[in-house]
Amino acid sequence: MARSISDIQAALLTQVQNDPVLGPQLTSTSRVALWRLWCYVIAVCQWTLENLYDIFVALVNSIVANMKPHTLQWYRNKALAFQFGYPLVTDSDTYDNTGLSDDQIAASQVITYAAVIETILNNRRVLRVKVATMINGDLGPVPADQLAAFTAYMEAIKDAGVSLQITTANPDGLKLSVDFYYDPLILNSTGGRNDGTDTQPTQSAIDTFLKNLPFNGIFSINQLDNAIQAVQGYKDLRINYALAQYGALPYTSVNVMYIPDAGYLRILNPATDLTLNFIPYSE
Amino acid sequence: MPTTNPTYTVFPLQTLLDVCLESAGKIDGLFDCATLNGIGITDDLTPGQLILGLFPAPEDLSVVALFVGHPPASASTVEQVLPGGIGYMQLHNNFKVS
Repeated sequence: MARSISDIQAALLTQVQNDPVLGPQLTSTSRVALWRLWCYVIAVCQWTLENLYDIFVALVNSIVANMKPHTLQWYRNKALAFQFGYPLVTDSDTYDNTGLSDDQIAASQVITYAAVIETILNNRRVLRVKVATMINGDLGPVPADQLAAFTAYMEAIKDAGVSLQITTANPDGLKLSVDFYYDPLILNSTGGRNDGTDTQPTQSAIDTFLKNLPFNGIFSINQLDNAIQAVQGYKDLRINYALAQYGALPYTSVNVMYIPDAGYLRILNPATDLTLNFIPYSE
Repeated sequence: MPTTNPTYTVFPLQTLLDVCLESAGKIDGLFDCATLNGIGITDDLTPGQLILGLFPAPEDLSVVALFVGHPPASASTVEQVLPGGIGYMQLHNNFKVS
C-alpha cells in the first residue's frame, strides 16, 4: 500500500536530520528551504513509484484470480470465508472488511466446518458442500436463515456451469456395543475409576474420539479400538457391533470404516445406543 | 457534497498534475484523477480538453482559491533550436562581434 507524500517526506526529513553529516548542515526550518524542497521532490517520485507498484500488484492479482482453476479446496476455503450478514464487494467473491474488528469478522463467519466432494446426483456430476456450525461447543446443523444466505453466497461465487448441492444436517447416529475387559485394580464394574476421579473414562474416550474426528473424516473401527485402549485400566476389548445411520435411513453395520454423511457422527442417545459391558480381567 | 466531479477545461501547457492541483489543492489525488478520466498520469492534454477534477478537502480550499483565474500550467515548452551559421545568424541578435 502506497504511503502518502507527506508520510514519505516526513521519513526523508527525519533520515536527513539524523544523518551525522547532513544533519548539522541542513538546519533550516523554512518550509521552502532548498533541502526540504528536494525532499519533497524525492517524496513525490517515491510516492509515484509506490502507486505504480500498487496498480501493478492489483493487475497481477486480477490476472491470477481469473486464471486460477478452482479446486475442491478453493470451494471449501470460500465456504469457510462466508460472512453472514455482510454483502460481497460488487463483481467479486470477497468481502470488504474495512473497519471491522477481528472479533466482528470471526462472529460473522458462521460456517465452522466445510467439506466439498464431487458426487453424482440424478446422473449429473455435482459438488456437494457439507457444512456445519458450532453450537454450544459441539458441531451442529447450520440454521435455516444462515443456510439460505450461505447458499446465495455460494451460488454467486461458484464457477459457471457448476452445480452445487449444499447440505447441513444433524450428526449421523452411531450405535456401539463393546465388551471391555478391565483391570479391577483401577476400574470398577461400572467402568468408573476406583479412585473416584472419573466415573466413566471409557465413555469419555469414545466421545472425545468422535469429536476429534476431522470433519467429513473417516470413522475407523481400528482407530476407535486404539482410542479405547488408551483408557487406563484397559486390558482387552471386543467390539460386538458398530452401527451407523443418517437421515431417515436405518442403522447399518460398520465393519471397517464409515464416512459420515453429515460430515460428523455422534452417539445420539448414550443410554440406549452405547452398550459397554465391563468384564473384570483375570489371568 | 455533490456527486458529479467538477469539470475543468485544459489550458495550454497544463498537465494532469496541474489540473489535479487546480481542482484539489494538492497532487495526492493524481492517480485518482487519472483513473477518473481514464488516462495516464503523464498523458499529454490538449488545450480545450475537458477533465474531471477532484473534490478538495476543507483544509485545501485556500490553495484551490489561489488558482482560481490563475490555473497552473507546468508543461515544458518545446525547445526551439534555431539553426546557426551563415545565412541564419543576425548581427546584434545571435551573432556578436566582440
